Amino acid sequence: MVFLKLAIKSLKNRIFATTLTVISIALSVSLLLSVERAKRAAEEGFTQTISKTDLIVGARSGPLQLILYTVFNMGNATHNISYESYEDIKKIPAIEWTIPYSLGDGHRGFRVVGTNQDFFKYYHYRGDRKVEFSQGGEFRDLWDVVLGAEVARKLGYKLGSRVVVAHGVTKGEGIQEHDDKPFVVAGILEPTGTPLDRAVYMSLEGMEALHVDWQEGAAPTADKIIPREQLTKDKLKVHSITAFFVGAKSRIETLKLQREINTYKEEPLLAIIPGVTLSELWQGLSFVEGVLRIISWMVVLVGFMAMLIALTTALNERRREMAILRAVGAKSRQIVGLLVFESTLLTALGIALGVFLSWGLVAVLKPWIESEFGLYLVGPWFTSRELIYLVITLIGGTVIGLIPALRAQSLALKDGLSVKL
Amino acid sequence: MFKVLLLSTMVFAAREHGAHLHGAGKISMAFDGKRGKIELHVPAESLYGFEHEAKSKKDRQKKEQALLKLEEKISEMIVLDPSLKCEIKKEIFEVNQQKNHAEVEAEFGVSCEAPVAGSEISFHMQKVFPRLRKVQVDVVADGVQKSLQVTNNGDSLGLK
Amino acid sequence: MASSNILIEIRDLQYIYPGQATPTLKIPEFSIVRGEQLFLYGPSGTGKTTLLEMLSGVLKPSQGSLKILGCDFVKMSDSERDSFRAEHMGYVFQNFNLIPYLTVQENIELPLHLSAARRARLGSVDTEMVIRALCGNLGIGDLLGKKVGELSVGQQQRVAVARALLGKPDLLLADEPTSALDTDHREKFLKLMFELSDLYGTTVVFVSHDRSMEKLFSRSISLDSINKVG
Repeated sequence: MVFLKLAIKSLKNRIFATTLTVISIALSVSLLLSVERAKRAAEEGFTQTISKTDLIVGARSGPLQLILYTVFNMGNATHNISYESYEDIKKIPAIEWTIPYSLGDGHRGFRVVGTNQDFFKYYHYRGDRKVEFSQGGEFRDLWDVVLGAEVARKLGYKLGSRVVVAHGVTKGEGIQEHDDKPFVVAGILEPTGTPLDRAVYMSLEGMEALHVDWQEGAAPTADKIIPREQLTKDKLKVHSITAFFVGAKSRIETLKLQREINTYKEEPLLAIIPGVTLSELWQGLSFVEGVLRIISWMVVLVGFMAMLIALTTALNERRREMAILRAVGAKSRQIVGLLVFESTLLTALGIALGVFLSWGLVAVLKPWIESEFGLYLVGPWFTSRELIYLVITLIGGTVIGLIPALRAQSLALKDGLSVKL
Repeated sequence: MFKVLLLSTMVFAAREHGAHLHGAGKISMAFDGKRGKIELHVPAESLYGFEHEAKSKKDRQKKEQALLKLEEKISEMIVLDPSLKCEIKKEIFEVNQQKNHAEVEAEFGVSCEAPVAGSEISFHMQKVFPRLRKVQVDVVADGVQKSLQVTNNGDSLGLK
Repeated sequence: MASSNILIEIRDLQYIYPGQATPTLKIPEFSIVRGEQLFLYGPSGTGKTTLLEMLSGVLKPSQGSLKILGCDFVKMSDSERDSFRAEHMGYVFQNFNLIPYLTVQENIELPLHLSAARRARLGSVDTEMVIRALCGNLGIGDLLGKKVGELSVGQQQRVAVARALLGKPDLLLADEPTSALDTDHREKFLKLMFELSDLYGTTVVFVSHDRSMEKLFSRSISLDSINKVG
């Protein structure tokens, strides 16, 4: 294979330009792949934030709002739902399980969630992953709290640490703190890469206890404070919750159940299928994806331009070389072949390097991306879509290589053997 | 970053949750393994061209023909993977007639020889009812929950 | 056949460059005999290179007939002429004969890789040995592994001759290969070249505008005497 040898030696001879060209293609390819992979991870992380839950029920508002304040710890509910309604709906035979969710208080910037033990039993994310403990266990006592992994990490809490809950999620001065009723850390969750990591969990009663002596939204005056010791679980009555998660006995019944809850007479409620809402939301996000993809193709194009420039610049110096090859009997289409082969080789090297670069990047940045953005870079090394992109890139590189090659051919025909340089 | 993205979509996702929009329908599908159910809510206008009560003979005929077409062609509109060998059967047809608006509500039962989750469903609404331009499809199949806005013949939804 | 001794036969040959009105070259009749060493004299711009490029098959004649070894170049396609060149000819340029990023040996081997027929002409013997012997004769035996850039101009020209003569081609075309050499080296170079072309039975066509070497050739002719332009 003399042309392989010729091409390789010729590229080696121009090692600096060759390296730059390969690097520029590699960078564009790895950007293209990274955008694709990030998109995949984002979609995965996004739509898999919650799983195995058939319905999320809250006071009637927008489905988006409901999913944001329940699953993503973002925003607030405009209304709560009464505990009676919750108990009432729980009795519908099609329902297998529920998880009550009560929001409202915060702890140093983190959301505090009131729930019950069913949360640990039934909450799933990313397929069949369940909430697990890295230390301690579920809340048992009224004053127990369980911390999401990030809460514990950022605030440096350990088992047994005392936690004072503030009113409202925001942090800063002037926030009323329930410092008369500190909680104790009973458990710390394993990191999940979901918003679960950024919340503090306690019992519904615990949530209620915070406000038992409050009147009309104001903290009690000293004489009216009910001492912590006097409060026990059975003395507290839960009045309302913010939302609840529902697992239905069958999927087919989910649709009917959803309708039933949405038309519930006693209170205006909204039941959404979380995956459906998330995937609708994701479709809304797809414009971002489109923009990113266009940008990365632009970068690939720039990479090709760099190659085109490098090859065309080299061409003039190589006219002599082409004449020599012609003199020893190379056909003009063999010369085209040689040049196209060179550009294909450059592109292939660039693609290979780009693929390894993006894999390397993933391997190095994976832990950071997971903890910082909750993006799980999982899935196959290659999707068929990525493979198609690489093939398109390779073909693109070859076609780009044709431009200088055809120019070289016409020069070679014009020059004949008498290049005067 | 995630938050910014999420908030930016609120603008986009806030659209079309209105009730009755001509040309726009809604399909909900649920599957437990091989068994499933399809619920269809479509403005009557999209199926047979008018929404007043069908009083004249001509109108009644139009309406009946459209409903018959819906029953017969449902498996051409909603195409499940042929290897699953699914059968779609009409269960309930209802026309919810209000003064100036009418909504067709239809339920179909589905039975297949293999689980539907993991397969792909494609939609060809306009092929049968050209006025049905936009359909919001929600699908629940075992652990998979997906949704898709169908606007073109051949739009498909992977249940993975 | 009476003409079996004739290598190249030209009849009513014309070459007109594209876009030009008058032919650059117009040769009613001319032939070159097998084994001769022809010196073709002509000042610059008289069509020497055009003739050489036509003989090598890089340019296709506009009219007439040009037969080499009985094959009519006018009737052959571009790629057939390319193959013919690879099999039957060697070419030596005035200078810059070698591909800079290949070694001396790789440069010499080039025609063998481009033409199976040329390789076949080597016979069944070891290529390496043939090249060593040939280069030994040319006094460049110890340069085979070197890079082209490390060679002097004279050495480079001898490498070019080695490449042109490898596989005992029928015809060696040379375009002023000695113009970059001083007089002393010119003579040595030509003598070496003739020695080998005699040995191989290769016909040499040498064009130059400098008549000083003329006497070393078996025949000398002025391009003016055969080119009837105008």
